[in-house]
Amino acid sequence: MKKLLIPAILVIGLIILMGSNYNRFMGADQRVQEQMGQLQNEVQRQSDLIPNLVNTVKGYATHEHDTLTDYAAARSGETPLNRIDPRSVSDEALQKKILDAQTRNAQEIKAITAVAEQSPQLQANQNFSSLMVQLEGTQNRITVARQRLQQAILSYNQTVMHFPGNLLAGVMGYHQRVYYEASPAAQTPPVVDFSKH
Amino acid sequence: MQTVLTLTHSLLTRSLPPVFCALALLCFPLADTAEAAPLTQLVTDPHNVLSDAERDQLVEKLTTLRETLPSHPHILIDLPGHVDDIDQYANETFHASGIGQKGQDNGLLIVLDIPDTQSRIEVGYGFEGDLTDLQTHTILVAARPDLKAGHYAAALNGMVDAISEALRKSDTTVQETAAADEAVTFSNTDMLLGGGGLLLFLFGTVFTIRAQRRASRGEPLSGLDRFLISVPWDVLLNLLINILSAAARNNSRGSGTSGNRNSYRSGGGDSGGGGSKDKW
Repeated sequence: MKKLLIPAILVIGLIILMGSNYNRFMGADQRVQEQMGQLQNEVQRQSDLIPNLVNTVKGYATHEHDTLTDYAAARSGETPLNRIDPRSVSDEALQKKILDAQTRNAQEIKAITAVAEQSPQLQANQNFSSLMVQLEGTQNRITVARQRLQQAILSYNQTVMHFPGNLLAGVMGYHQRVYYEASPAAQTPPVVDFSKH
Repeated sequence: MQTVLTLTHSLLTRSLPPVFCALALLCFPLADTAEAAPLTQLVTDPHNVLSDAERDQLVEKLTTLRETLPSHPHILIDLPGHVDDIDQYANETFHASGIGQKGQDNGLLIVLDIPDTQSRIEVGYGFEGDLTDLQTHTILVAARPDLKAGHYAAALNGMVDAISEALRKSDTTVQETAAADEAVTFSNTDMLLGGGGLLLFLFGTVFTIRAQRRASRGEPLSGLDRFLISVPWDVLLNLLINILSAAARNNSRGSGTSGNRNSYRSGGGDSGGGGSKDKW
């Protein structure tokens, strides 16, 4: 009986250690998934807002009219970002999709602000002002979502790479994750504040 | 040698004052910039912009709203002075303060940066449907005349009234105690894991001591004895203490106000950058 006690305690201890580590890995992984989903939603929210802005701006656009039409054509027929299940694609593939969407949004916003800067009537347009406030809101949400995703990935990587997690992480299928780095081209330009006009 | 020393001394006495001045100048703006930190009061006014009576009136209003509205909003007001980026400051302060209940995220934060004449309403996730970016912007724009005139209390009262009006129309309902119960359940799991681990640690050390005694007496050691001696018990103990302290922190976390009407305790709520900012 006494001989069995020690192995039994060791086995129980090992189960507790593995169980608690597994919970930590899973928790950290879920936080990354949540934040990735949040970023997908926010970028899609911005993408959904842009066609409304383009429609408002088109009547005032002279030089950028064709550019805006081209962007709108490129956008049609694409799967919305928030309908992509993060578990169905690799981190790199998903991050590229988000990055592409952000880059295109940034280019469109640039074209829209270029039109607005040259048109005082557009700046005074109530509908346009409302859309710009919403656009600013989405930009802020994207910034927050991106920061929190980076923090979640950092925390996840620390969990799977530090002792004692690193002894079990690989066996349980939890590997180091890639950070989401938005290139300067993908950074949405600052939204011009027309609210005072 | 004497010449070198004289030259060095003269160089130091000439160059040090400008260096110190430059350092002081560099440090000054940093000292004046407010950094995001957890708020512990319903109305935080470190620069005494509001009079005591104005602050008490706002505190009373915020407390009444929390008690009477079905969504039990946790509304906080912060007048931090100069901030570099009001969007980032408001979001980080909201996050650090855990405004609103955990899981319900029924919090709101009003920030006035008076030196830079900018304002922001940061909306918790739970209120994003009730207070859109556009609505918060309209509220801020409506407060411009009072802010421009320096009537900060009137502006804040107007903002709180407009927010409460919008929340009154919404059907968001929150149970005040739900989040606290959830936190206790979660931390109990942690306590169980930590407690089980502690038990294992105690058994392990007792058997390790026995094995070490055997080793010191020169008695033959079994494989288990050798394993026990090689286990880094101090590292395991450190790990267990961390788990238990995290559980204790979770357990002590509640939400609400204490005896002092103006004090605020984190509820674990969060915001994702919703809301709006304005310049007056």
